[in-house]
Amino acid sequence: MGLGDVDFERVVLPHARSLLRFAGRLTGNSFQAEDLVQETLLLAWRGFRQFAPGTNAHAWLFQILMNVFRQEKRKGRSRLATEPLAHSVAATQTSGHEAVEVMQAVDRLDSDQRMVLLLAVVEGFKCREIAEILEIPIGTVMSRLSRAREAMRELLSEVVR
Amino acid sequence: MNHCSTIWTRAPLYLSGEMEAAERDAFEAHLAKCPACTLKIADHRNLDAALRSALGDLPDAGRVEQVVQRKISADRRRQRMAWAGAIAAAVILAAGAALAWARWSRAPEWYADAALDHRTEVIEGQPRHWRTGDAELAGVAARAGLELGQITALGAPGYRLERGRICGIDGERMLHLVFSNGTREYSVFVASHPGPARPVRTVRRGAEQVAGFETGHYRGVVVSEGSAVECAELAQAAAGRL
Repeated sequence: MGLGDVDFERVVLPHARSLLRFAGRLTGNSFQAEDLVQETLLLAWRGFRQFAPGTNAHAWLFQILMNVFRQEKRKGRSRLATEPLAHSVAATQTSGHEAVEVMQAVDRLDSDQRMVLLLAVVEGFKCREIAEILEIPIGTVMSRLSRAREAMRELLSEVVR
Repeated sequence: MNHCSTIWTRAPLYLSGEMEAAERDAFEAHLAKCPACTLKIADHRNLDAALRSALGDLPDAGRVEQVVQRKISADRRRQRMAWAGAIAAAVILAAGAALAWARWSRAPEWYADAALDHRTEVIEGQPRHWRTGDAELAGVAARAGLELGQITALGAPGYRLERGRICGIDGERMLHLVFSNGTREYSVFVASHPGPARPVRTVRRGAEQVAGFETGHYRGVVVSEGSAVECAELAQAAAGRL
């Protein structure tokens, strides 16, 4: 095993779980999420020589994941999209009435708003990083984020306060 | 930053900690005097916390990692095989090229026959039935498919055609011409020979230096006691005049 392989395992693989978490919410399907993350990691492996050490691997991987997701969407592929979210990664993580309400509210958001909200709040990306990952202007990120939070605030007025 | 609308445009930067210090101070100054915005920011913070609590757990990615590791291993095997195949192909190609070059560049065996003829007939002067004079030389030239003017022009500057005869080399009738400058002599063997043109090839045979040429219509060799460079120049000049 060469140095590149060790680096790949050290730099990239620790992000597999957060990629899977995000992909689960993005696709709403555990199998599709796994496919998406597999494809992302394989592309990361094949392009690992282009990755500059010391830069943000987390954002780089999410950028790849979003590219794959967009490509799949353009091709109209919905591979294995038969598993309901109730059996998927997202629903197995937490318990309690409040958590279920929060998840339901997230799922009711417009998909653009949901994506930005999850990247900012759950994955901890800065607005500037989200703009790069989604390839949209930072102003769009900020307005989507504000609208998403307002929508969630209305949907979850009791939970929030 | 006095307007609530401005606050809500910039709030995401405040909550993510990306706001510059000066803007953050202005933002907080507004919050200090605006209970509605303060409440909203608090709500957004609570909302973020509720989201992280509900969705923050990380799923097990073991299965995905295993599949990826397996595919990466297969990728590596394919890469190694592709490299091995490319190296093997390069080695075979290089060996083939070397063999072709060796065959192509090797001086033919009959060069040695010409060198031996030159040694015995010119250097050692063993008796042969040489043709001399224009009439006789024109006669032997014609038997080789050449004219007198052509064979006299084969000599280097300062050398004249001394004598000539037809001999058999490599199963072919060749015209053996001897050029002399009064002190030194060298031989030119030439025959009509259709085939591909080749650059001059030189080889040393004992004391004799041989340089062969093939023009596409004629082939021949120059045999002399000079250097390889000098001999090659004589051959090059002869080929150019045919």
